[in-house]
Amino acid sequence: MVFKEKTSNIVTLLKMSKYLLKISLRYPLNFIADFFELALWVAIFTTAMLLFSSPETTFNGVSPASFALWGFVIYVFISDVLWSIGGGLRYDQITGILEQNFLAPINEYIYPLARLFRIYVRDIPLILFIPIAFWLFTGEFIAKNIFLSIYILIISVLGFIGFGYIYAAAIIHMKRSAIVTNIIQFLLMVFGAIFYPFSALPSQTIIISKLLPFSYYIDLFRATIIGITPELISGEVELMGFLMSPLAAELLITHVMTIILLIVGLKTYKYSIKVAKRNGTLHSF
Amino acid sequence: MLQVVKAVFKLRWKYLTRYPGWLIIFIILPIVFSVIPIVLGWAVAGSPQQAAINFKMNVGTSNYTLFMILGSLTWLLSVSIMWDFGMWIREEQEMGTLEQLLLTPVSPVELLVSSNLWALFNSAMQFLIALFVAGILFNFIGLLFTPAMVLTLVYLILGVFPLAGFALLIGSLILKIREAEAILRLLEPGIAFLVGIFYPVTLMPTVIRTIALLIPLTISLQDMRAVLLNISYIFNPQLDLLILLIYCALWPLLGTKAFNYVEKKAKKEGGLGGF
Repeated sequence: MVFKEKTSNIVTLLKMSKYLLKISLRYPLNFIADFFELALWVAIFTTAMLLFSSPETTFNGVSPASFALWGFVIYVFISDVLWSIGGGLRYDQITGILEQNFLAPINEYIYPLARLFRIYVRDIPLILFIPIAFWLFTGEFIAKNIFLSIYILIISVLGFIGFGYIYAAAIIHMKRSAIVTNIIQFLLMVFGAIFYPFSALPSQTIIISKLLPFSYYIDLFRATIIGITPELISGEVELMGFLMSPLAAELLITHVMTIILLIVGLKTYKYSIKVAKRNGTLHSF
Repeated sequence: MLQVVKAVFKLRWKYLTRYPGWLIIFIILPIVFSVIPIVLGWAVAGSPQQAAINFKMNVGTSNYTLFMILGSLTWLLSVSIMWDFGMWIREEQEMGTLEQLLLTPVSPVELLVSSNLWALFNSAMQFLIALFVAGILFNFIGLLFTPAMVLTLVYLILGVFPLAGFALLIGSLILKIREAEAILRLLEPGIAFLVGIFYPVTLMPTVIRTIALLIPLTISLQDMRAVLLNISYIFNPQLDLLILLIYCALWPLLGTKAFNYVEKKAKKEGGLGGF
């Protein structure tokens, strides 16, 4: 019975993803825009970076361009979760279909999850394209520990989805998706050190970076794929008598954080829908 | 006409105050946006001091914060005007009110001009507020209270005014293609790349530079930087002003013609409400 229910949920998820994909394919220019937009931003930031350049500058023996490249890759996923879930819910609210969708006899968790179809459809070719664009502009490309990096990326995306549910819960009540998404993105761009190493930030702001959960995902993924020691935890950490390397410590932090984000996300999301249904505020904007 | 402008301003002001967070975003966004290349620059150069030395060698000024802030503010100004106007059409389309709006006894041109005037006013205010906030944060506020600032504002106004025509052109494109978001998403980095938000356009190859000069903001931005930071003008102050004045007449004319054509066609074919 439980198995049957789970299978039916997966089928519903696929059907909803297919439906949303169909709508987005109605606007093919969007897909083209994704690629050009990225290539142009890469060109803009690379040119800006060159104005400050002195060839001998490296971080842990790695040029800043590699930090920007892999920071950018993980940022695409974070940004997509935020915009797909937040922006998607808001769009349905404005076009007046949110309430009907939530009244349909489907599992309410599937609704935001289906919106993430972008991650599987669009982001995979995109993350293959970003390194090529970077390589064309900077002539640099480093990719080590591929399997571990992909594993970290999967754990990170699960964590982002957990956060996405918390975010969806907040959007249902606050109805300010674009503003909140922008604020989160600003914080990440500056303190999450997306485009530069954490060590380039002034020392007094590192504490803010360490307080942002996303920073650990960014740092761990980037350090692993570049093949350097993570920056946020620099020395060995002792936990219950065990000594852990910075990499192991960050792996532990990200796993624990993913579990917490998923549990808290699912709970708050369910609660927010219950409240919105009770108060009849799903449709209002 | 004045009544329409007043009504549109009143309506848009209501929208704006309904979501006050956007105001804060528009002040913070260009500052955060400028911080990225600045910190990236520190990372590349090794220290803020070395960054200033390298930047002076390449650009001709060591005041890279003001250089970057002016760039991102000008870019955001153009984005804001395009979104304000382009997305207004799209939102009305999505909510199903565009057709009704264009069928009211008010002339569509009056509606468009009013909406465009609001976009210009709103964006220019955001530009000035953000510039002063950035001036306080990055310690260049003194530069904003010099006579050079008056000339800077002249360049800004002459660069912004033709954008109204540019926005109309985009508006007509949105009515025709309906992929407003994609068009604007392509234009945002496209304009940023061409006008040189983080670098002088004079560094670009001739072909790109020639295309960039068709955008009024390219001249406006480079000349604002030239006035405040003593770097080179696009051509020379007089010629640049003359080109900007020509653009002030040319772009709105082109935009109005294109919009009228598309709107007339859409009304005839009955495709205004669909999205």
